[in-house]
Amino acid sequence: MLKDITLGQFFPGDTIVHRLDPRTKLILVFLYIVALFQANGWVGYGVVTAVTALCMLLSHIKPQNIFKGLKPMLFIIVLTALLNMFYTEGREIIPGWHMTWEGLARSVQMILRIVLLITGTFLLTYTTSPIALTDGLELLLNPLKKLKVPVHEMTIMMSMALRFIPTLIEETDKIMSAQKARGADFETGRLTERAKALLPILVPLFVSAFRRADELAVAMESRCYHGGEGRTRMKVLRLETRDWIALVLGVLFLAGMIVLRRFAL
Amino acid sequence: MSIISFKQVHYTYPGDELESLCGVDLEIEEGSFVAVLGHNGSGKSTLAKHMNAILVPDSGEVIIDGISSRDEDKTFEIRRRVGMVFQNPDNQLVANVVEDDVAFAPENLGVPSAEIRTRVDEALRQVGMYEYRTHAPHLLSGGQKQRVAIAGVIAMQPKIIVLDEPTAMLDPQGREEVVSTVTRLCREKGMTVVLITHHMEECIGADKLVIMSNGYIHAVGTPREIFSDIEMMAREGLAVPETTKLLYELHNLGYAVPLDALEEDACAAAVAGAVKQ
Amino acid sequence: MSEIRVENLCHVYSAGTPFEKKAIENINLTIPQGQLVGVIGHTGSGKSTFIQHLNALLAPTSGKVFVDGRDINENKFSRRDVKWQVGIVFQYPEYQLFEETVYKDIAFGPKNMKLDEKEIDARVREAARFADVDEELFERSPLELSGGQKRRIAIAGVIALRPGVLILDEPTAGLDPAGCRQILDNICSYHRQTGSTVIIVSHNMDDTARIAERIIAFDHGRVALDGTPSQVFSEPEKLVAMGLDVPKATALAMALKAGGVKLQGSIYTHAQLLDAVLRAKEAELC
Repeated sequence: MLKDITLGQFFPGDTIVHRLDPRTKLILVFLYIVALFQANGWVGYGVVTAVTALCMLLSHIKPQNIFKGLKPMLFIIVLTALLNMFYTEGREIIPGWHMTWEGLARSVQMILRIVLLITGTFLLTYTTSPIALTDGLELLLNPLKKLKVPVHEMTIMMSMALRFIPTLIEETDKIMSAQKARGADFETGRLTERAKALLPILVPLFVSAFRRADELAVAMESRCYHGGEGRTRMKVLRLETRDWIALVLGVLFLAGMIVLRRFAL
Repeated sequence: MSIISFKQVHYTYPGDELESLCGVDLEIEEGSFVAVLGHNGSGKSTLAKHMNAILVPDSGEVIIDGISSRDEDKTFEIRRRVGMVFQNPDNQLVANVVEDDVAFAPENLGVPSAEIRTRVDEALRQVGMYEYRTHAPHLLSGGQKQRVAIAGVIAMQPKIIVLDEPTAMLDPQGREEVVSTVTRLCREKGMTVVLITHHMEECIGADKLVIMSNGYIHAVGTPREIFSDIEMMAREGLAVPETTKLLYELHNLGYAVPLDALEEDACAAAVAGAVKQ
Repeated sequence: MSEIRVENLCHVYSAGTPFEKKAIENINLTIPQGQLVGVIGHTGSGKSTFIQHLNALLAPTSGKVFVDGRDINENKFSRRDVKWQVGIVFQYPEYQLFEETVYKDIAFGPKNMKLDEKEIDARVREAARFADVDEELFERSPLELSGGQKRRIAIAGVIALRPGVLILDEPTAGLDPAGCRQILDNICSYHRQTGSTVIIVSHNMDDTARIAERIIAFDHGRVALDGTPSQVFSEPEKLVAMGLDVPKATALAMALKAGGVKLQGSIYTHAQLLDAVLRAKEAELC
C-alpha cells in the first residue's frame, strides 16, 4: 500500500549530530558537498569516506538505512559506472574489450562520489526533523528578505506540504480503492489508456486538495495567522559551542580537501 | 453578563438568494456551555463563523466581549478571545509534530518563547494529549486529532471556544473524548463553550440549548425544557433522548411520570416509581 | 445467487517489517444470498479490512474467500469478475465523484463492464431511482450538489453495477439525522426489491439494530459475536466490554434494570423498551 511509504525520513534520536542546530547542519552539508567535489585522487576519496563513516557512527544511523535509501538510485549508479568503464581511454583489461583500467578506477570513484553525496544528504534528513529543517532554512535565508524574497511564505509552504503529504497519500489510496471497486483498471492497457485511467483519481484528489486548502486557510486565520511579521517561535534556535566547533571542523575539512586537490592526491 | 451577543443579525452568502441567517438574536453568558442543534443548512455553521469575525453580518451586530465584529482593526482581538475548532481534524492541524501545532497560535500572537512552551504543555495536559506531544498528527485517531486541535486553540488562552460540528467525522469513542474534554474545560476552567452539533446526545449536559432551523432560532432553553417539548422536536424532525421519549409515552398512557427527567438514573427512578405504584 | 463463504481468513499488514500488524485472523463465516447483515466493531477492530477482502481489493495473507463457490483470488479474471458481483461503497464515497455530470459518474462502473449504451442507460436510471437521485440532476455537475445528494449519487454509482452483494462502509457518517434516515430507507427498499445481500458496516447501533437481520461484531481482528439482533443485544454487557456502544433503548433498559425495574427479554428498539416497561407494570399488578 502507498501508506507504507515513509517520507521526509527522520529517525528521532539524541546523539550529538541530532542536537546540532539545523542551520549548522545545512551549512555543513553544503561544505561537505563542495569538499566532495574537490576529491580527485584516492587519498581525497579516502578522507571523505572516513569523515562520512565517522558522522554515521556519531549519529547512530545504521548502514542498512542508507542502503535502503540508495536503492531507488541504483539504476543511475550502475549506468554511470558502466559508461565510465567503457568510455575511458587507457590500458584495456582484456584485450579487444573496450574496458580499461583507467575506466575501472574512474567508475569506482564515480560510484563513491554518488554514494557519498547521497549519504551526506541522508545524514541531514535522517537526523533533522522536517520542521527544524524548514526553520533552519528560513533563518539562513533571512537576509534575502531585504531583497523582498518571500522567505517566510516559502518556508511555511514547505512545512505545510510536508504536513499534508501523508494525508494526501492516504486519500489517494482510498480513492484508488473506491474506483477499483467500480471496475477502474490502472494496470493494463496502452500508455494513453492508462494515463486516461488516472483521471478518476486525479480529479477527486484535486477537488479535495482545494477543499482542504480552503478549510485550512480559515482555520489558520482563526488562529490569528497573519504572515511572518511579529511572529515568535516556541523553539528558538541558538548556536551553541558545539555548533561553532562543528562549523570550524567543517571549514578545516574543506580546506584540507582543497590542499589535497592541489597535489592531485 | 453576556460574552457574545447577536442583535438582529442577517447574513446572505455572496451569490446565494436565500438568507442564511434571518434576524438572529442570541445572548451567550460568560462561563456557560451552550449547544446549538439543527439540520444541515439550518444556519448553525454560519452562526458559528460570526462568532470570531470570519463572517461579518450584512445587517445587525455581533458583539464579542464588548467588541463589535464590524470593527476591522479589532479582528485579531476577537480571534484571540474566541478559539474555533472545525469539523475535519485533518484540515486544521498545520504542523508535523503535535506540540509545534499547538504552538502555532501563540507564535502568531508574538508570545515570548518561554511562555509559549509553558502554554503548550499546559494546553496539552488539559486535553490529555501531553504524552503524544512529539507524535505526528496523521498517526493519531480522529478523537485525538480533535483534542490536539482543541489544545491548539486553548494555547491562545481564549475566553470562548466555539466548536463547529467537531464530532461529525468521529466514531462514538472519539465523540465521547471531545465532548467530555470541552465539558471539563467549561466546568473546571470557566471557559465559555459553544458546541454546534447534530447529535442531540451531546447537548444533554449543556446549560442552554439553541434549536436552529432555516436561518432562524427556533427555540432557546435548558435541555430539559427543550427536549420535553416532544411535539416541537418532532415538527423540526429532530431526535430526542430515549429517556424523554419513554417518559412522554408513559405520560400519554396515563402514568404519573415527570417529562423532564433527562438523565438515565433520574428516568430510571421515575419509571421504577410508576411501575411500583 | 451470491453466497459468500470465508474460510480461515487472515490478513497481516506490512508483513516482515517492524510495522507488521495482524488486522484479522481466522475468520470463518457464510453469508447466504439475500441477508441484510450489520457489521459492527470499534475503529481498528478489523471490520474494514474484512470487507475489502470480499471483492478482492485486498488479498488474504492466508485463507480463502468464495463467492458462489468460486475462489475469488484464483486468478486475475476471478479478481476482476468479483468486482461486478460484490459492490463496495466506501466511507465518504462522495470523494470519489469525478465526472462532469451526475449521469456520467453513475455510468462509470457499467462502462467499465463494457456494456452497450442501452444497457448502461437502463442501469443508470434504475440505480438513480434506488438511491433517490432525481433524473433532473443528471446533467448537473456532481460537485455543485449538497453533501447528502453527492453521497446518494456515489451509492448509485455502485448499485449501477447490479451487484449480488452490496457492501456499505459507514454510509451515514457525517450526515444529519434526516440525511441518515433517507439513506437507510433507500438501502432497505433496495434490499427488499432486489433480494440482494446487503452488508452495512456501522458505528450506529440504533440503525444497525433496527434494520439488520444478522449482526457480526468484530473485536481485535476476530468475530466476537454473530447472531440475530435479539441474540447479540441480549448480552449488552459483552458489547460494552468490547468498547462498543449499545442501542439507546438497550442502554436505558440497562439503567432501568439497575434502578429496580424488572424488564424481561432482549431489548434493542424503543418499541420493545416501552412494551417491556408495560409488561413489568402488569407483572407488578398480579
